[in-house]
Formats: sequence, structure tokens, C-alpha cells
Amino acid sequence: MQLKAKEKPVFKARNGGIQNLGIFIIMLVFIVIVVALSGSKFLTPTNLLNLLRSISVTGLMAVATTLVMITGNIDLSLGWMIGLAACITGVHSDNTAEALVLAILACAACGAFNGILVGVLKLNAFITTLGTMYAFKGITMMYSDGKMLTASVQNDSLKFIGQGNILGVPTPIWIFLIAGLIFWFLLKRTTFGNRIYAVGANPVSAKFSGVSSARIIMATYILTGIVTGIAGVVFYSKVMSVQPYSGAGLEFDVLTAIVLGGTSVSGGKGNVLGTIIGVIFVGILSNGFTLIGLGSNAQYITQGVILILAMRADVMSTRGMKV
Amino acid sequence: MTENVSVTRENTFFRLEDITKTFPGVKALSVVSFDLRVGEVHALCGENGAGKSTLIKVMTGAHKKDSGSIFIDNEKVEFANTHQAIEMGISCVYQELSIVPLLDVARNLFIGNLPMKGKVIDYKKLYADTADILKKLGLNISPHEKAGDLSVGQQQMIEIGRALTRKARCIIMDEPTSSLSERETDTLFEIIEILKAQKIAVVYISHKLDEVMHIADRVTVIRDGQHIITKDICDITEVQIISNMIGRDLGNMYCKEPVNQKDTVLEVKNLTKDGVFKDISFEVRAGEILGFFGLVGAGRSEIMRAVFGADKYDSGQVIINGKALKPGSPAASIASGLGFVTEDRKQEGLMLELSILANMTLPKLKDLSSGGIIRRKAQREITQKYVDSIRIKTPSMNQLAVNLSGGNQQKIVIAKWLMMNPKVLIVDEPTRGIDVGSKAEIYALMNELAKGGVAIIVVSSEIEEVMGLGDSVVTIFEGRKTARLKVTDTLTREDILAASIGGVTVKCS
Repeated sequence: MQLKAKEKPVFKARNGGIQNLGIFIIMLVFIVIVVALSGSKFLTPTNLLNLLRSISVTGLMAVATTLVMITGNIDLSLGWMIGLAACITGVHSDNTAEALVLAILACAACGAFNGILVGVLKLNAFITTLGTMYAFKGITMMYSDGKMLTASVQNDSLKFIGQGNILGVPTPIWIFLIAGLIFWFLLKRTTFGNRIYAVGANPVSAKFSGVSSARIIMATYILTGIVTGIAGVVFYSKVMSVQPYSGAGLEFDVLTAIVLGGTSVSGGKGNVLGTIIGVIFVGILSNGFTLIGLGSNAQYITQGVILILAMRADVMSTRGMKV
Repeated sequence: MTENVSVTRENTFFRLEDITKTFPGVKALSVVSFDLRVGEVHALCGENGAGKSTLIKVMTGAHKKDSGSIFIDNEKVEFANTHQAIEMGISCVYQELSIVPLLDVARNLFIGNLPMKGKVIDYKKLYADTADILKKLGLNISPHEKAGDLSVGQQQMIEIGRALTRKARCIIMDEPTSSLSERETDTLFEIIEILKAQKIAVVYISHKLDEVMHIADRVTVIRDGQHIITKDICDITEVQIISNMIGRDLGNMYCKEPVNQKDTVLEVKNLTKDGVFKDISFEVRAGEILGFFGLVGAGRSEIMRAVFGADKYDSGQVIINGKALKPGSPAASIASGLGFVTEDRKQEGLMLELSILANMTLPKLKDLSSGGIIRRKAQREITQKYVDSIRIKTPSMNQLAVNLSGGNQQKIVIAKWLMMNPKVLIVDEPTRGIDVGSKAEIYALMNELAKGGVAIIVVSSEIEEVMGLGDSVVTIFEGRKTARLKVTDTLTREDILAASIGGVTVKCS
């Protein structure tokens, strides 16, 4: 029997996109409320640039972590990984190249460690990265001695990474957008990207097609580590100082953004564009709460609820369609 | 050709009249009627995509019909959900079993329906009732046994028993024998007879027409969502059922032609995996089709998985064109020209939530890319080529695999390997759960490939299939090769069966 193409909801793009119209509407409604309550404060160019600057660090991590999530895994250790990278940058703040290389290497090693545990030894990603999160926390605290690190000498190139502009747009935003573009391309157009989807959709079937899920999962964790290393440098250079613990909790923003963006926690589905939209939304959430004058505690509650709603949408879109 | 069977017979208790069901873009059922008499076995036949599953789902309340009526005991009923259908005596045993492996037999039987004494479970009654039902079904299983430890066949019996605990008057069985051995199938038939004796009707859905002829009282054929024919089984032949199913006459399904066999391509030497199989040696030549037969659990699939590199083995060698394969590496096997159409296409063969394109080109990605970047035009072109050439029915190659019928899904898995131009293709149960029309197409494809010089191994639990397709048949019994028989006019089913239960030592080809 010839099947005609099924009509699809507008926002249900192939392999993700914003999976659920409901979430998208909630986002729009929220933005309207923010704009209404904050008067004209929200839509000023300064605020919008601030907003973009504030999301660039989580955004960087989120586009890379999307790959991990598509394989059906998760990374909870991101917050302390970026903390470590920022501390390394702080210690080597006199030499930008040195800071970058060391931060990237350290985080890539952290990612490789996660990758070996989850990909090769096939341990549960949630618990494993919860464990490595603690390990990385210890390493970071030991390395920094638990103290705030501030730049000792003026370093213009490092400052440019965190606070500079190119064509009127802050450098961190450029870095975020370029990373987004690279990871979009990686997922959509490369054999590696296609294999990531395959592993996430069905690792057994991927194995029978000659794709080693261990290698793919490992690669996604290492890539996430590398990008988190870069994010750590940006994170530090935005204010040229860092508290060792200030990265903790960022993983929550990252994961909320990815799930909001339609990446399925069970794997096989998701894309970078969705993640970027999710990141923007999480940014608006935090920015909006500040503008309206609600504290961060109210924001935590809201963000928690939204993450759960997004999960619900994910479950419905994977399970509900078949019945 | 539509023939109306009188539905006013006194013993008809369940009746569907003029059921129509439409999905976006597809008319799955169009004015279909179906009736069921007390204690009869009514077979429902049709190709995949003919509307069988939709009809069952309407019967069980899983789908809402668009129009038409359902009657039980001449009273019009509506099922809002499956629960209501079960309450009214309509139960279904699905292809995918829903046994909870860690619970014991009794709790599985009465799951969701445990006998209670106040607020606690009445264990005494639970186990007494369980023993009762097991006895009724003639099953020699302890109520305390963990369901996960039972064989697939026994688990299925538990599902049937579950329907009995719900006072079912009608049990729908969807492809009940697809994963049963011949002996288990016989047990199932005995149980169906017991059910009949207790005035329980069975709707029997199967692609295996010999079973239908054997067990059914009546048969209904549907095609393209329409009712084609309902007949007493004694008034119809297997061939007539098939031609009604596909709407045309079918020649010899296997169309075996002699092919010039050339050099040995695949050589398996003394392959051993402790406790699973031992000392397996065989070879396949280019253009040859080798049947691989054994009862369920004999180790056929395990051997093939090891040959392909999906599983490790303890000793032995797999050699393709004189070169030993790296053990335990599917990627290396694929690179050497080996392809493997796995037994379980949903678990092992496909990524159901991905597109036809993504599924088909996965092993081929390396050839379809330069510097790791996929040449998308080439990827689309080759996919379209295979979609067309092996006639996969789909509106687009971007369609998700999960939306296709079993036959078309199987074609995707086969196409995936055809693209690789394999030297050796292993196909494990290539036609399980596939309709007759697609079956014939897949057989034709195998023959075509052999003609093109591919060495093919067909693993199957259907003797007809290995005999019909194979040039030779290797039989496996308890992890050992018992014979290699050349398929000739004098070779009989019984010869193969005897060898596969260890009766014959080695009768060489």
C-alpha cells in the first residue's frame, strides 16, 4: 500500500529541531511576559548583547554536549571541567597560548576519561559522570587551592577573547557561533555525525554495520572536553578572574538547553540548531528574571520545572506517536 | 471477489461490520467485516501492510475505528481502550511478548489482576489458580518458576494463560509461531485445541500457511485494506489463499536456477566457542547458496555472529579469499567483503527512528565521503537507486524505518549490504514475519545475487526455505555440524530433519 507523506507538525523537523510546539509556545509566552514586565529594558541593544554574551559559554558547551546526548549518554561533569579549565587559565593568565593549550589538554583528558568509562567500559553515563564530576571537583580545588584566581599581569590577547569585539559583536559570541556552525556541520554532513546518530538510535545495529559505539562515544566525550576547555578560557577572560567553584551548576543550564532543543535523552535524535534555540531560551530566562527583579531562587524553580516539561515532551514525542 | 458470509449464524458472538479506518494519507481499512464463532479458529491472512494489524487493533480497542460497528452477542459495543475490550472477553497475544522476566509464573499470569484478600495479595489463591490454569493448558511448569527462565515458547503459553485469567472468549494470536521451534509449535496447536474445547475462539494470524491449513476452521483474507474472501478451510487451498493475498497467481516461489559455482570464497575452519558451538568447518563458493539449518537454539545464529565478528570465538579461523579475518571486528569483516542480514531486524538490523537513507548508507559512508565529509548527492542517488531497484514501497527515502512494513524493512537491511557489493552475504532468517509477496521478491534477489557471483549463506528454521534456496544444506545440532547435504531431487525434508536432530553422522555432498 502506498503511503503518502505524513503531515508533520511545523516544528517537528527531521532529527530534532524544536520537537514540541508546546515548548516553543511556552518560550514565546515567557518572552512576551518578560518584555511586558520589564518595560523597555529587555529590548535595548545593550541588554540583548549582554544576553548573548552571557549565553556564549553555556552555548559553547551545549553544542558539543549535544553530540554526547545524541549517542544516548550524558555529561554531568561539565561544570567542574570548565572550572578546572578556568583555573588553569587563571594560573597561566600571562600567556594566552599556554593557557589555551593547557586548558584544552586538561579538559580533553577529562573527556577521554569519561569516554573510556562510558564508551569502552559501558558504565551508566549518569552515575559515571556524577562520579567524575566529584573527582574533577577535587582536582580543581586542589589545583587552585580553593582560592580565587585573578590575573596578575595585563594580558590583552586574553582580554580580547573574553571582552573584545569584532564588528561590534563580542568575541565570545563569535566563538559560540563558529562552534555552533562547526558542530552543525559535523553532525549533518560528516560520516562521524551520521555514525553518532546511528549509535544513539541503535548501538547493536550500528555494531552490525561496522560502527564501533565505543569509539564514537569516546570521541564525543573528548570533543566535549576540548570545547569545554575553550569555554573555560572564555569564562575566565570575561572578568579576568575566577572562583574555582563558579563553574558548578553550569551543566544544568547546558543540559536544560539541549533537552529543550529537542535532543532525545534516549538518543538518536537531536540537532545543533535546536540546542542553540534552547541555549537562547535559558539565557532569556535568567536575563528576564534579573530584569523583572525576581531572584535566582525563583529562577531555579522555573528552570527545574521547564526541564521536566521538556522531558515530558520528549517522552511523548518518542512514545506517543506510535499509538 | 468479495463474498459475504452470513453473519447471522447463531454461534457467532463477535462481529465487526463495515469497519473503516483511515490514517493520514492511508486508508488502512475500507469497509471490512469479520465475524467470529464460539470456539472456532479463524485465520486472518494478508500481506504485510494489508491491514491485518489495524484490524486487530480495532478489535482490541487499541485503535478507534472511523466508522462501522462492533457487536458482541448481537449487542453493539464501543471500545474506548484495550482495557474495555479485555473486560468484554477480547484478549490478544502480541508478537512481542510482555512477560516480566524477574517475576514468577503466577505473578505474570495474574499481572494487573492479582487475587486480593482485603488489601494484601491472596497468595494461596494466586498459586492455586495458577496451578489450575497451567493444568488446563497442559503445561508442566511450576507456578514459582521465574518467567525469564522459561523458553520463548513457554513464555508465550503464559501469555495465553494470562488471557484465560481474564476470562477471554476470544484470543487473538499475532504471528504466534514466529519464534517457536517445531516442537513448541506443536504444543501451541495442542493448546489451541484445548481452548477450542473450552469454547474459546482464536483469531490466528500467520504468514505460515501450512499452519493455517492445519489449525484453522475458517480463513479470511484481506488485501489493501479490503475484505477479499472468507471461507471454510476445507473449501480452499493454500495456493488459493496466496493468490487472494497477493491478487495474482504466484509461480514457483524459489525459482531456483543452476548457477556456475566458482572458487571457494569463504572458508570457516574449526570454529569453536566453548559451550556454544564446536569445531564448525564449512566453505562456500562464489555463486553458491548454502542453507544452514538447525532447530531453534542449535547455535546457527551464534556461529554466524562469530563468523561475522560480532561475537568472539575461542579457536578456529574464518578465511575470505585466502585471507584470515580479524576475529571480533565487524568493521574488518565488512571491509573484506562480508555482509550480514541479521535475524532480528528491529533489534540488530535497523535504526528504527532514523530514515531509510541513514539506515541504508551506514556501512557505505566511508565510500560516500571524501575527507570525512559526506557527498550528499551521491548518498541520495545510491539510496534512490536501491529503493527503486528492489522496490521499497515508500513515499520518500527520508521516511523513518519504523513507518515501513516488515517486508520493506527487511529490504532496507538487504539493500544496505547490496550497496557494499559483498563477496559473501549471510542472511539469517531472511523472511521471518514477512508476507508472501515480499518473500518471493527476497528469494528472487538471493538468486540474482548468486548468479552475480556472491556466496550466500541462508540461515533458516524453515526447511522449505533452505531446500528451496540452497544448493547444499549444512545441518547443526547442539552446536555441532552434523551433515552437509547436497540439495537434489531425492533429498527429502526428512533427511534434513533427521540430520538436524543428530540422527545422521556425516553424509557428504
